[in-house]
Amino acid sequence: MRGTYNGYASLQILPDLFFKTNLGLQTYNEKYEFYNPTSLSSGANPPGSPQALAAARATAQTIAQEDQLAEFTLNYNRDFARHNLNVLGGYSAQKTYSDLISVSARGFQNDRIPEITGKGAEASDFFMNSGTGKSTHTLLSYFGRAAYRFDDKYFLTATFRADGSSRFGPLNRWGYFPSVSAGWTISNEPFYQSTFGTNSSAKLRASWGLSGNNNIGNYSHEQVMASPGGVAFGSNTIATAIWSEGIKDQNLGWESTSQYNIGLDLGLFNNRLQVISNFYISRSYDLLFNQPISAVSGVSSMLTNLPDSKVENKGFDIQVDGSIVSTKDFTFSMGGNISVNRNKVLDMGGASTIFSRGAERSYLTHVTQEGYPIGMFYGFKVKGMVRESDLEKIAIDNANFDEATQSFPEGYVLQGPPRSMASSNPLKPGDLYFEDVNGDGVVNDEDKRVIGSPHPKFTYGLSVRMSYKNFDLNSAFNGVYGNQVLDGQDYYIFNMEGSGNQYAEVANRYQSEAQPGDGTIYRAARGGTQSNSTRLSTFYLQDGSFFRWTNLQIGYTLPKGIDYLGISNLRIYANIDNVLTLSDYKGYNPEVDYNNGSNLTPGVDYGKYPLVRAFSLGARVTF
Amino acid sequence: MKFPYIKAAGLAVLLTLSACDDDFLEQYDPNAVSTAQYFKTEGDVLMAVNGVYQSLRSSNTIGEGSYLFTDERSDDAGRNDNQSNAGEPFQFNDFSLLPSNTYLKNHWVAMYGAISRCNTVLTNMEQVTFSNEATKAQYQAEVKFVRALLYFHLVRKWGDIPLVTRQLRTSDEVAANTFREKQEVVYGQIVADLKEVVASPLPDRQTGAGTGRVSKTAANALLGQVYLTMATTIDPASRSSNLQEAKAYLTAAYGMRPFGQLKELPYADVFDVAKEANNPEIIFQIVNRQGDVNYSSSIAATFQAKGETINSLKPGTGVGGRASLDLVKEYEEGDPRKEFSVKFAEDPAVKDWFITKFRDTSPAAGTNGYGGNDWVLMRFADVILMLAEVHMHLGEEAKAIEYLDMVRERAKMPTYAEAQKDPAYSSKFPTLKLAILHERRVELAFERHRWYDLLRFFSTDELVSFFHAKNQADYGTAQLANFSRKDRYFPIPFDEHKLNPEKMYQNDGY
Repeated sequence: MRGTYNGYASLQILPDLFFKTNLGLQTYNEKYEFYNPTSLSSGANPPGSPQALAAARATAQTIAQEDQLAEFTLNYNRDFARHNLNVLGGYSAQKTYSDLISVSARGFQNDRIPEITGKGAEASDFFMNSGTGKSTHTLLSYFGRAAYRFDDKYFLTATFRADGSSRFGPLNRWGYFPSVSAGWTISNEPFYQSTFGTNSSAKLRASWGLSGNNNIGNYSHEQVMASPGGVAFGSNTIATAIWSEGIKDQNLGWESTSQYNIGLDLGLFNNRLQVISNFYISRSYDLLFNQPISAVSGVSSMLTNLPDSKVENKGFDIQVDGSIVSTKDFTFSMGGNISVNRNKVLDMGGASTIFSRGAERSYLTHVTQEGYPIGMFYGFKVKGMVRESDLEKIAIDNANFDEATQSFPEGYVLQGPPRSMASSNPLKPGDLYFEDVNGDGVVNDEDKRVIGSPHPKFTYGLSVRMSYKNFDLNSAFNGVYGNQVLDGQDYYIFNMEGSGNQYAEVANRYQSEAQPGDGTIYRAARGGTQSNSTRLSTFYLQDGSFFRWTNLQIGYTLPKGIDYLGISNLRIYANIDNVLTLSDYKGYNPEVDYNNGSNLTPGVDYGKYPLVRAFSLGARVTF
Repeated sequence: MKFPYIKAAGLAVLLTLSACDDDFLEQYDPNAVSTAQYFKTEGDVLMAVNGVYQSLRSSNTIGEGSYLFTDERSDDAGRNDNQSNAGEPFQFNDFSLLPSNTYLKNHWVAMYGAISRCNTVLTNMEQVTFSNEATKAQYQAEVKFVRALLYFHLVRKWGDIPLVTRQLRTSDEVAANTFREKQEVVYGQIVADLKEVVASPLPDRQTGAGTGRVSKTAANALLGQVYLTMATTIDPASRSSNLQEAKAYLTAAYGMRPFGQLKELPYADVFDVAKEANNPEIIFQIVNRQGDVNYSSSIAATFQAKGETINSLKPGTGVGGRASLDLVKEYEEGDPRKEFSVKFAEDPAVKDWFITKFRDTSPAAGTNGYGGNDWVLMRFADVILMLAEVHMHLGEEAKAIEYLDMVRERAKMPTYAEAQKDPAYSSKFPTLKLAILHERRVELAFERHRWYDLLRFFSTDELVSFFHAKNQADYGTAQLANFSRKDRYFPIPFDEHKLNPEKMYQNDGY
């Protein structure tokens, strides 16, 4: 349930000077209930079994949120001759409050009361879920803006804001963010009009600005005691136990991004062709991230700003819209856009390489290091497949391997594929083997490298609109090119174990020397594949490029002048969402994000719920 | 909506807000106490001391579920399943452990997490006023004991390790402490802490409501074990003085026993859920509450193999806690401890030995397997066998055999002299040293001693030959041939090493 309440007042102090107050309140309330019945089987245990009874659970949860805003501005606006000046200064205070109560009950013997009140008698049958509690964060801002315009040709704007956020530590709560921008409508110049006439327009824009990011959890700067737990002493006595949570950074502060932007907007052929283009280069500083720290701190990471760090994004977007045919009965227009972005970590401020775990099985999956984009895939590179002819060479290598030092003698030239520390079973024909990056004959953690990128080379979109007499057609397409996806599902449905349904490609696996398959898919085994084949390697990366026909709509509008039942306009239409996707990706949907937008671990799939294809018919009636 | 009075109200709010900018931005978690503000009263300290004990329950520290890091590393247990969880647990008994193993990292982080709890209590309790100084000294002693115990586990598993003894508050402090300290220094700290505990006002023995807390018996026994380990694994120059210290503290611990002779105490009682709480043999245990979903023991049910009912009413689903055939063959003919500790599961899906030493088949534990088994960290049979070991090292054979026989006699086994006449025994355990190691193995099986015993009894080279001499078929799927000098220590977890490759240098062979 949502509520929005707003009040505002403005006062004219001088003819050109206004004072304005805006008070806002938004509320949100939610009730959530859940019951997992005893009549549901628990794992392999049938419904109603003791295990199913133990797994039955009811949860009740309420969320109340409140967002209060007070904003006060002074605005001065004045035209004199061909000049216009608009100056604004203001102050705002925002407070966001949330209250979550979540409790669960268990001990259900049957499903007659599917509520928390149906719980068992044990005290431990009723408990509070994690996350229960109140939380507040506040934001104070002072801001100013001066905009100057001359003759509708030259535009100049400068802004400055100071923001204080309760989410940061006492020492670095305030961030200061200036910006300047300038615009020049070239087409309003006499020389332009004398050269190109008046049926086109052109505007040049340039700007620089600093912006801040405080998108982190609340209270991240304060080390607190954890919710109490318990420990048993004597016979059957539970004593309350408490301990401190992880170390926090008292100096936590704003992450800021400095962005330069240059743009050119063109309107050609009486604005029938419009081109909007933007080039940008931005650098982010003091990145907010969970820094890996030594376990001697008590935990393994701490949210902090990466000092002196720089991450660069540069790229461009171009949007072209054209009205190609425009006659009385037939119109046809098309639009397209392309975005190219390049991301690179320029400086880690002396911090070491960051390894992140982005998959279900807590493998190291991503690496962030200087000179590379953020969150690159990290692992072994598959070099090839072991064949029967390699076995003899492997035996020679094994004979020369020094078990004590886990290395080959100095100067030894490897005969077969590199020896893998990741393989706990001897290599067999049909197993994958990895690249030995440092050439010591042994593949171990030192031979892991960047093996792929989750970042697309470019993204694009396309739209088509046409109409003929009373019929109309709209369609949209989009696509992504050049990124890779780490398909975690492969550990279940591409594992050659026969433990579940498999991709059709497993037919091309190595079966024997006579049937070696396509040379990339390893042999089938259960209880023997704990080897190279199941380590995180390029085997699990797939091309994530796709082209999708996102929407198609065909409509028919009833001719005007048929006045029936007071209907003034009637349009009927048929619509398809997600018409078609062209992609080599083997999973359900190449638009993946197992880690919900986490910067350091993008591009991982664990069977994201596939996009629905929706067919709909509709009518829009106007009376 | 437009309210005429808003204007005035707005101005009022504006003024109020500007007057208290900083207050408005000062937001503290209403559901938690800041660590800096927490420690005020004796009661606060006690709860934080309890928090230290709580950390020991975890299967990632030294709780009942922590077998992966010790028994599965030894020749007593270890899994054949090289598939589950990406084969990472299998790396432990296969001796193919990679520095990036996530179980290893979790163990490391949890151990240091527990040490950090100790340091937080010790640092902050200084500012709290106690009505009775003895209470404060007791709390300090309890926490220092736990810290010493944790460091003792770490130093034996990893060798040189970071050593932190106070609360770290800033990332600069953390960075400054992220370096491996020489293991001699770590042992020095352990000894210093335990000496304080031995001299503290703690009771000699914890009984009744205190069961599960640290006692002076525990401190003496642990300090004796530390000296014994130092004598045999580091610093050969101080070997004899360390042995003397070990003898003194172990003898002191033995002197605090609440019984006359070990044979008065039936072996099975130590593991009997109904008799555990006040069992005179147990020195230090993690207490579990039967039938409780949160504070019960799950070890009996976890170890139960499919088709079996001996451990728990909860039906087993897999192979349970696998015991190696190598251990099963170690038992002497007719040793009742074998029957008690292991059983062969006939289910066609298992057909292997599993661990039965921990049982709770009572209805109170029920079909959910909420057992009441306390997790025994220290007991007198262990102390007695360590006394045998010390005397053996000191050349006092008769005394050593006397202690060894105490344990054998209680187990209804013939004396050492008697057993030696049996060629099956004397050929397998030709020296007193090997006889003591054997006795420890069968007496203390699955109590997480075996791996440390092997590290204490053998040099690294001896250990390599010891494992290579074993019969592969008795060991399981994991490859004994993988055992090499590197396996004396765990690797430093990969990302911990990468944080500072120079100061957090990797162990040899990884």
